Amino acid sequence: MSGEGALERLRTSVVGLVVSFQEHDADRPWGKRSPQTRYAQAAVVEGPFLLTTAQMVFGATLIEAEWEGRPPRATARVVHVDPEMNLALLTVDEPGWLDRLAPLAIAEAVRLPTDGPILAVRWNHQQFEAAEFHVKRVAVHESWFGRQRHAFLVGRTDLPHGGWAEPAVSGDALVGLASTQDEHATWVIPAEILAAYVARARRPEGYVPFPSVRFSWTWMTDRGLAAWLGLAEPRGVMIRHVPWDTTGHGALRARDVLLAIDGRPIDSRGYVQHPRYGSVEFTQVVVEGHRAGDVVPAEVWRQGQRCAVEVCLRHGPTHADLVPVRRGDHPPPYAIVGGLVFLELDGDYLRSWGNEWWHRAPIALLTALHRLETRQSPERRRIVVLTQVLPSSWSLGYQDCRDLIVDRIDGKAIGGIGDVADAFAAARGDEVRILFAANDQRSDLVVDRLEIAATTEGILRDYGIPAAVRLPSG
Amino acid sequence: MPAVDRTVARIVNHAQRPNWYVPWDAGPVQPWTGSGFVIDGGLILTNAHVVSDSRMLLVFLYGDPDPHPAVVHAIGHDCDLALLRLVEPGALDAIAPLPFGGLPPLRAPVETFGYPVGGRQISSTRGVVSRIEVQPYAHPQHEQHLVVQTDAAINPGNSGGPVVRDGRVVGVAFQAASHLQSVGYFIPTEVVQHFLDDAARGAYAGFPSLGVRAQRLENPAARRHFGLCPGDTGVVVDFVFPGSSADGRLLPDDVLRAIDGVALANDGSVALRPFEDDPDAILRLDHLVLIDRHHVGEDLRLDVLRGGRPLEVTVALRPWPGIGRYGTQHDVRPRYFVYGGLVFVPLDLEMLRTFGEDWRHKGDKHLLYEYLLRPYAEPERGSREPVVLLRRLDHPVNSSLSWFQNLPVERVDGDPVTGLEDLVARLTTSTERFQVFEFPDDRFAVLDRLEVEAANDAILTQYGVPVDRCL
Repeated sequence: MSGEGALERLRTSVVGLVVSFQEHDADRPWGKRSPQTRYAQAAVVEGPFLLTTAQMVFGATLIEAEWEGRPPRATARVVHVDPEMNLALLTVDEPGWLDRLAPLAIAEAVRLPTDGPILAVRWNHQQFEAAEFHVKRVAVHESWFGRQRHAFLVGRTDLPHGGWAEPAVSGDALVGLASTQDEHATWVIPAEILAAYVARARRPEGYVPFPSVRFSWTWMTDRGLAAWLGLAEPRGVMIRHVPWDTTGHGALRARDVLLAIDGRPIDSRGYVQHPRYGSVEFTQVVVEGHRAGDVVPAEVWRQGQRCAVEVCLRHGPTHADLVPVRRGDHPPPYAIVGGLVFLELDGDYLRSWGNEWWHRAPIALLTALHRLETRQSPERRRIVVLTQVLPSSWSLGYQDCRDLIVDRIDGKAIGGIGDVADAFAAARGDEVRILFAANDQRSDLVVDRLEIAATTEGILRDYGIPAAVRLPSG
Repeated sequence: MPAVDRTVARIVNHAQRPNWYVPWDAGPVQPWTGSGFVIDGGLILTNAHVVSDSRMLLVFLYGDPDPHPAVVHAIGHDCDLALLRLVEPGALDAIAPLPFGGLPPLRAPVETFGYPVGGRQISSTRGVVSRIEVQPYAHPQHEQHLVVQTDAAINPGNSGGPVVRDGRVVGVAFQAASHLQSVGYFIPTEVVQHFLDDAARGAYAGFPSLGVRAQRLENPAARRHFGLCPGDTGVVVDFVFPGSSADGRLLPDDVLRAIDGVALANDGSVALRPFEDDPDAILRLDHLVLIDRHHVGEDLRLDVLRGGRPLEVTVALRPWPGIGRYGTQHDVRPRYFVYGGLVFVPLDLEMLRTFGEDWRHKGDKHLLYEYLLRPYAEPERGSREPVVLLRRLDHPVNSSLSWFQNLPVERVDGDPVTGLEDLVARLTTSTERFQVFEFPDDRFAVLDRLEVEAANDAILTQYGVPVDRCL
């Protein structure tokens, strides 16, 4: 495809999306923030469906599609979303609206260098913009949504303020969707992931998610470490911890050195040789061409010996994490008891501390994000935080308490918001004692049990809160 | 010539403060100035922060153009006070020291005297007593004692100068709130006298600490829960610091009801009559004031409620055991050990300050957890001194450990590290081929001991490290 004719054909293969959305308020989880609008792009794919990134449709209250970037708009709806892969399929129910669109074929795979230029395209105020996207490298990175890692095409384009799911096209084929863009680079989800996603989302039998690597690992570049373990030279990566119910659980162990996976040797920085991309992080091998439930062979160095193991690849939904990086469309669970506001800790709450939240958020919460991830268990699925106290005479003396991780309530261990409500309901005696995880403020607080119900009712009324409890969804 | 002026001196300190990020570097020599004044015994009283880390002290007396060398006679970093003695005997004999006065009441007029920046002559400002309460002392960082706030201007250089009321010294100017208007502070004579009494014993022992974290009992349900009857007051012990005065004497959930017979309110305050001029006037202050009135080694009498039953507990007072770790360090060299190019230091406030003054936010999260939270999470670790791999002096023996820096060392060769000296002993006496270092989150680093021993001297020479350790 070249020249004006090519761009003319692309005009019917790309649609603009106008998404009204409203995020949950991380600090006051019973409410939502002010409604906003974002403008995004979608590629038309076989179906036809509209393929865009999941981050464009999170929190959507209304999605409208614009043909050629101009009114009238048609209401679109989400057919499927994979938050971890940051992809979503949409459709438009208005009769005939999709008929004038020309689906793009999704390239089987991106081969670098491409045969021709890659164009990043979009609708912008009824103008169809196109600019070359120069791929600088391929890099494995976490997806926008969470801890899923996969390959991205990383490069630069002259389309300013991108990263709103602009399609990247080469010839007649879709080679990627832009996920994020800053002054340094644009990160594009490559075609092989798009193709696999669309195919799986359209399966009549249902969607089979992509697997993910959730075990923590570290480089084996340390010559001394390699020698100490008995390896002739540094290679592979050392497994630090395998969270339960994730890829490798039961097969891989802490202090194993993962030497190869699915037949691909891993070097001391965790790279494998990829047929198209050269050296990429080994996690790409798990994602590309595999589905959750697949079993792949692996080779580990364990206690001085080489061992062959079989690794079951598992999906790692972010919302199942001890501290989910994002909740997406899952509303934040909370409980309000007499003005005490309890939340399940997540990345959205930490991001309420602003751009440098990884510096500004309380150290106890940041530590929970990084250090305690090894301690998730069936009994402790989440970290519950007393985030604030809506003051009343009942909570006198505690009105300044903030951001304390809850350990126990009336002796009951707390592993989720449901436990909070249960613990208060089961409490006996005239007072309830809440114990916190170790912190530099206080160990506990004690409240009157008999006045909880009346106080909670008054708090809900005075603060305009619709419900005292929201349990986890999904 | 006014009597006050004659007693006030200008002090010039040529100080050398070490670089904790390059712990073998003694740092540049820099002069700074402050004030002081003559007291009984031929000594000059000033602030500790004026004379800390000194290489040479010079005292300039009122109307005397000649500098007089001086030495530190006694220093209390915990209360930011110090005594100087002139090297030349008898140089102060002709100067009559001012008498001390008691705590001035609110709104009492006071004058400051000193040599602040903006000129070289003696300066005086006037104001009133604005507030009296227990507040943090900036010099040591972790200490709180009684302070008096005044709107008399206290500027850099005023530190150590007398605050006078009716011809009597009522305090020592020492700090100001730069982000506020007309807010300066002076150390009242109650604190000064404690320091002088302690210094007179020969070796300054410092202010004692009870060593507990206590919570207010403002909530009625909490008061009931801990066994207080209606009308009873106190604060509840929340945490007892290992090795502190209260260790083994007080327990979590104990309610402190009185100290030396003086009742504590639910917010931990006590009602005192501290004014000589007005014996009936009551001032409510934090109960720490009562502990500050004791010296290290003395007994403190506590009325406690434990499990609902009243109890009298006597506590032998000692300084807070966390002083070295949680306070600024002065007049000492940083402790360190360099091994195979890896630089190990103790985890303390000075180490964290290498991240800048905003270290509470910018510091490495593992270190902040170790410093701020782990003592509460694992109090049984007690007196263990956390050790940090601070940085790496690049060399082929360690070049593969490029990202290892600012990490607490959990174990060496499988055994927990209990302090810097422990680390040094283990590394220097080991006969194992490999030295295995373990860090948080299951991270490892391994050095080949023979390679390290062969390279150690070359690394020290290459990086200008005069000696591999300072313990």
